[in-house]
Amino acid sequence: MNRRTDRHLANALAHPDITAGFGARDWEALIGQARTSDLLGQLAEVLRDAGDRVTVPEPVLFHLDAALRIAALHRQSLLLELAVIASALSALGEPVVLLKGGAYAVAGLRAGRSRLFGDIDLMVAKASLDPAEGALFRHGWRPTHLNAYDQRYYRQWMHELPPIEHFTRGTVIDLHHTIVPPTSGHIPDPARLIADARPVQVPHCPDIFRVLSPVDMVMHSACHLFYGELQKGLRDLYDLHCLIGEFSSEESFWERLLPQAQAHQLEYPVLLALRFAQRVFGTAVPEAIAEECDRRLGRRWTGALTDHLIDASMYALHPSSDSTWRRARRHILYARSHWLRMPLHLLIPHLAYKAFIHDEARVG
Amino acid sequence: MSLDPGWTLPHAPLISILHWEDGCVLYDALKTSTTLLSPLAGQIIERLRDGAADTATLASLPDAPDAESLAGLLEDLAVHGLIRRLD
Amino acid sequence: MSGAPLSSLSRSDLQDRLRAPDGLRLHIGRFVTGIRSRHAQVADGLATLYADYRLADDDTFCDYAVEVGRGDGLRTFVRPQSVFRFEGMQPFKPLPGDQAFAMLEWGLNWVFTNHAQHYLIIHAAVLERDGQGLILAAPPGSGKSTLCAGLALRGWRLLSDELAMVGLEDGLLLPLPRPVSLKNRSIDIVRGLPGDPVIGPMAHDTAKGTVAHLKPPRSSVEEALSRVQPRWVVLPKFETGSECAVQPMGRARMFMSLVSNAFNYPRLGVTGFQAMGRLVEACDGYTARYGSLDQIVPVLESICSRPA
Repeated sequence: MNRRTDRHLANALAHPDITAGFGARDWEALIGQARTSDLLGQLAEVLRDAGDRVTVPEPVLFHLDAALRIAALHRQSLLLELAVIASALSALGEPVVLLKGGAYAVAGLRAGRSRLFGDIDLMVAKASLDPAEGALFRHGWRPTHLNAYDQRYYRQWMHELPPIEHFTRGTVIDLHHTIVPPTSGHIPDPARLIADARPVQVPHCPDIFRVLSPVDMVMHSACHLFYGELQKGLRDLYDLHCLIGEFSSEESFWERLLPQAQAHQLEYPVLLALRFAQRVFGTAVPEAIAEECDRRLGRRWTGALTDHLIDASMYALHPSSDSTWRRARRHILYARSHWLRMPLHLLIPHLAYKAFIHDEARVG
Repeated sequence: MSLDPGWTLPHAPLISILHWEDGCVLYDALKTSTTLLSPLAGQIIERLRDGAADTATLASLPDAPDAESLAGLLEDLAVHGLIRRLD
Repeated sequence: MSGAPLSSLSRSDLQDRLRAPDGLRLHIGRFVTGIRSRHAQVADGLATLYADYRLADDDTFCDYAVEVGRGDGLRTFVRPQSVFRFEGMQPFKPLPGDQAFAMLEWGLNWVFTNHAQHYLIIHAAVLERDGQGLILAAPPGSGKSTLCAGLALRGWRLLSDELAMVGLEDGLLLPLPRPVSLKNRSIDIVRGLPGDPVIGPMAHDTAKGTVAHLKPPRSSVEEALSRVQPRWVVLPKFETGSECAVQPMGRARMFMSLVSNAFNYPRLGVTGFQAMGRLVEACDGYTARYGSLDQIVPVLESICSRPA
């Protein structure tokens, strides 16, 4: 790891002008980090939008152009998948809330542009979960090849059903009934989230889709980042940075963010999100809010240790920015993120099992 | 005589088609499928892309066969989900 | 392309570069690849088969940095393995140490394919004659590599032995000339052809049997920046004892055959459909059954000399 290059991706996304002084090694580090973090499309867009302020060497343009084209293909594909899903779920007569990348894309948000899409995340009311899953099964989705243990883990402890995959199209859907695992001890109010969600138009689709309100979207993104698996930490934090930047100008966004997070018992991840977005991307946060964050985070005894561990996940997983020490910190953090989602007495047997079955497939 | 309500494409904007002497290829973006069709079947799909049409209209296409063969072909296309009967 | 050819390096300089942090940097078509390895077989293979490839300057951007390592811990010393790495990832299971060069070639195929998903990629050999492209599309085991090697030794420009990369918008073929991968009997056949074939290290007992590579003609390497308009598509099928039967193929059929040989067509959606349409429109298609190179080569050379 080269200390000089390890922040290139985060810095370039926030301030593309820094590439002005880049040599070949710098560009290599930047492109490599972006690729590893699934942020190459977004980087390409940032560099393109910087216009004359940035000069990208010709060989590098190939990769940026590739990423933009591939992102465009992903987006095409996402919209078609949503059309198929909508025709499967419209008979339910219930709103279906799009979450994460899919939501950002259909809502025309900056966070949704030039990105890659993986699983499609949907949320419905808990009572509609089984009928929704049934409808999707009738339209070609199947449970993924999870063993009985993992299936049980999902259904019993998680806030989502096990992923289901379409048997010809290959699309994977994660069907949620709330936005954090119930075992985390935090109980947001999903009915209120759905009620506050905004309808959104998707081409070729009946009108069933909604997206979370701006405050709820930021809240969910923060939860996903800190309670989910932290491998894509930088990418998820960049999403947050984009969302916050875009919503900053929405009326009463800042007034409502912390109180609403508190009402859903999700203040902690939002505070962490604001702190890290500021630290890594320089996200503009009103001074009063930033001070409030420092005050409230400072009160928690795990604060400094958590910071240190989370910090490790905010670097790209690329040789130019990674290190053995950071990898070790990330492993501790993986355990920790599970700790936040599950009671301890359940966590240890689960982790031990996972380590056992995955050992053979371990990569370097 | 049975009524002839006509035929339509299930999702015309998502259908692309290319025509050659030895056949046509059809791409359905919703199903993400690519299908090889005879030149005549391709003509039928092309005509239906412009809007619904009844069997009589399709019978007046340049290479249309006799009524029985045409009916058989339309049935075939319907069975494969490429066209839909209007009701 | 500037830079001295790899052949200008002494063996010890070559080895030093392969062990340096930035690796040995080579121009391969429009890309620069950085290669690191401590395996002697990798140095051998590069010295033999990549002799004409240009070294890249230090201040040139390196597109892909790969490594063929020896495995972790004790495996570094005791029966070393071949471990392929790209950007800190290890996409494949390790292979035995004596397959290190083959591992490099397979790894490079993977790297180039994975990062050209914005091209239409067809499993095919690609050669050029009189400024126009021939696409030999066929699944593995159809004799395509032997035929490709045969044509290259007769002066056809080699663009690729495995990957036809078609631009989605301009329809042009992207050259990525590399050593031609040969298996089992085909190695002996090619070794016996006129044109001074140079064969690199052999890997025995691989999943595909014995594997070796043919050095690409120097002119193919040096002309690798010029893209080519495709003109002919041939689906070759080698069968021992077969007669030679080459027949024109209609465009719709050509389309469907190419789709079945196209790696990433499903992921390209309607854009891929349109690009394939354009490709097929621009080309004359043929099926070709044959029992020997002597049968098929003259037929191809006759077909592929008609003016555009």
